[in-house]
Amino acid sequence: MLRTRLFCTISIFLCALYSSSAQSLESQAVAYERIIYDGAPLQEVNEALVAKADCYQQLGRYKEAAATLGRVRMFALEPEERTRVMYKQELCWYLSGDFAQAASVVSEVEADSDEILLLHALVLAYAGRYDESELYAARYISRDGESPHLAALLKLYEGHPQPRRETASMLLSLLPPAGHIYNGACGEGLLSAGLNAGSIAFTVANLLGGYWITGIVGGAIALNYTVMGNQERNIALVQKYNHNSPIEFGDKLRRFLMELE
Amino acid sequence: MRRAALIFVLLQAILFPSNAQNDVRLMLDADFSSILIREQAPAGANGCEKASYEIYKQLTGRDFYDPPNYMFLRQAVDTIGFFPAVLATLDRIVRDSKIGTATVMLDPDDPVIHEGPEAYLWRRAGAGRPMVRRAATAAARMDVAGALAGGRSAPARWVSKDFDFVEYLIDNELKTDARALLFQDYNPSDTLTFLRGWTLYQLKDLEPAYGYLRAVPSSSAFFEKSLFYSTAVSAHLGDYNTPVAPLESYSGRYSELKDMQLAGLALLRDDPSGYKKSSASFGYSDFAIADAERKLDQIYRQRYEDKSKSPLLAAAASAVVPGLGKIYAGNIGEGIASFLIVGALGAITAEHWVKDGPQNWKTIVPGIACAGFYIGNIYGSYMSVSIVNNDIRNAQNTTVLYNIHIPLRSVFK
Repeated sequence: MLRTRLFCTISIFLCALYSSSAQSLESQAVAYERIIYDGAPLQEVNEALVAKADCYQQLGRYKEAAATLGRVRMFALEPEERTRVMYKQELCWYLSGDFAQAASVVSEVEADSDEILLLHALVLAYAGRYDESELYAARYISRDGESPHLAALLKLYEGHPQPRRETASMLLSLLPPAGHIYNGACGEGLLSAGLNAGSIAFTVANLLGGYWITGIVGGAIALNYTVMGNQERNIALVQKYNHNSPIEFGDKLRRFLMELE
Repeated sequence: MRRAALIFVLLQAILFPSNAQNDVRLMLDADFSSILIREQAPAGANGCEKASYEIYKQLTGRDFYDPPNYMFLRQAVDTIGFFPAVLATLDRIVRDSKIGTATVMLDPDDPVIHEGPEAYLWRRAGAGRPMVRRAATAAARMDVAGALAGGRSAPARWVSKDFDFVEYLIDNELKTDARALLFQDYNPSDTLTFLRGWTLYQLKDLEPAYGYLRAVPSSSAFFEKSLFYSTAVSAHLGDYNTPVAPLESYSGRYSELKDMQLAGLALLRDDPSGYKKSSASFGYSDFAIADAERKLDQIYRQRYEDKSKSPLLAAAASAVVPGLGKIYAGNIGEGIASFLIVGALGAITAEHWVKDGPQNWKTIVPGIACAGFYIGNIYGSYMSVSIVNNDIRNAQNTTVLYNIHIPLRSVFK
């Protein structure tokens, strides 16, 4: 009898092991959906949705996992279960790279465990909410008492990127290469300043030489490209920086925490 | 029993780490490098081209035309020959200016004009470009027997029992779940073939969808729906000939729908007599397809009865007044840009001619540039009309595709 049960237990275990293949996980997801379709009670519907989201998560289809968790009827859950579901949803949004969606869930997930602290810290860092992220990150590394790495973490956050303003960049671009320097692109700034200086020199030299048409018409065309191009380039640089800098800071934080693990 | 449970727990602990540990690893190992905005010269650019790319960025603010002009020239030389490529590039430089692109409506999600040298090839060819390359349809020739044999290896159950469930999945935008379900082990049947085709069609996976829909036999209850949808799918894939024979052999209750689709296919094939023959039985009385019939008639009149613009007239107009041919073609911004740039270079040349004489380099350099842009403007105007005609033809083809497809939703509710 004991041998039979042992055989059954190992068989179930092997089935679980086998079921990690992509095709089987997809089939499992469909099987969970069928439970919902068959009109299961609310509690079972929620369980099926969570299990289905887990299948998607294992398949790396994080957006679908987060969307499936969004279908969970939260009112029918206990507060603790609700926290776990919201945490999973936040995790899936984070893994799918949708940090704004992930950050919108943070306030609803109580940080009562290490992994939630870590997730909040990362999500808020990638979303550009550095002050809130710093608190969670500090709590995470101090989970077993005061951490010797706290000072290094605080130093990392001291250097967090500040969002840049398009208006400031555009106004500074009137004095090339000030706009580029503001955006940290000194090499490009020198090139732009050179092009602007060249077009101004062309205009002035022609006007002084008595070539009025060449000076006015040619100069207008050249300056139209160099001055306006400079302004548009500066706006593009601000947009690029504001998009990339939170992601780069988040990567830095991730590497820092990874070294501690 | 206790020992068995203990072994199970131990094995699980060894082979499957706890969820929390898994989650932490997932969070720390995530890679978001693909969502960073990157700027770098296209692969394969040499030093000169990289420098050109950097200057281009400073002058225009960002990559506006894709590919950049220097890459366009290199590709165009390979595609359409040296002199046409130079003229096409000079024309493109003018069109690339701020005024030239002022009247272009860009997609906010993709604010870039994508135009490679093949666009010029289409202009030169002067023929309607199929909406989807015909080569794609070769892969769509799915083996009908193969489609029917799906799932034959391990028969398990009949799909008709899951029919409502599949509909529920599709209606609730869970189409990938429907696909996962239908490609499990079911007994082969017409219903299974139809449902597979229908689900793949819903997922816009058109090539295999066409194979399955075509494989539904005429004895099936789903035959008519499969026939008309497979015709629409085939047309979307750029194959306008294959569906004609099965449609013509159909003699059921949807004969007007059949004629409407045959007429649409004739327009797509550029076959006016075929259209006349099929549209003769249009009744304009069936609510579901009357609008589509009228629209097809309208496209027929526009295409074969109304006069189209002449590329030669556009070229002549641009030879007299630079840019006028482009305005005639409907590209006002490009026309004004051509006029200003050619005019400015002409004025500069004239000034130096008067003051320095015709042999001075200050006259020769802007003179050569002016001549290049002037000839490029004539060439571009000729091509602009061709491309406008092609654009109109493509827009008409899109309308035809829409009208032989969308009414099916009302017919087969």
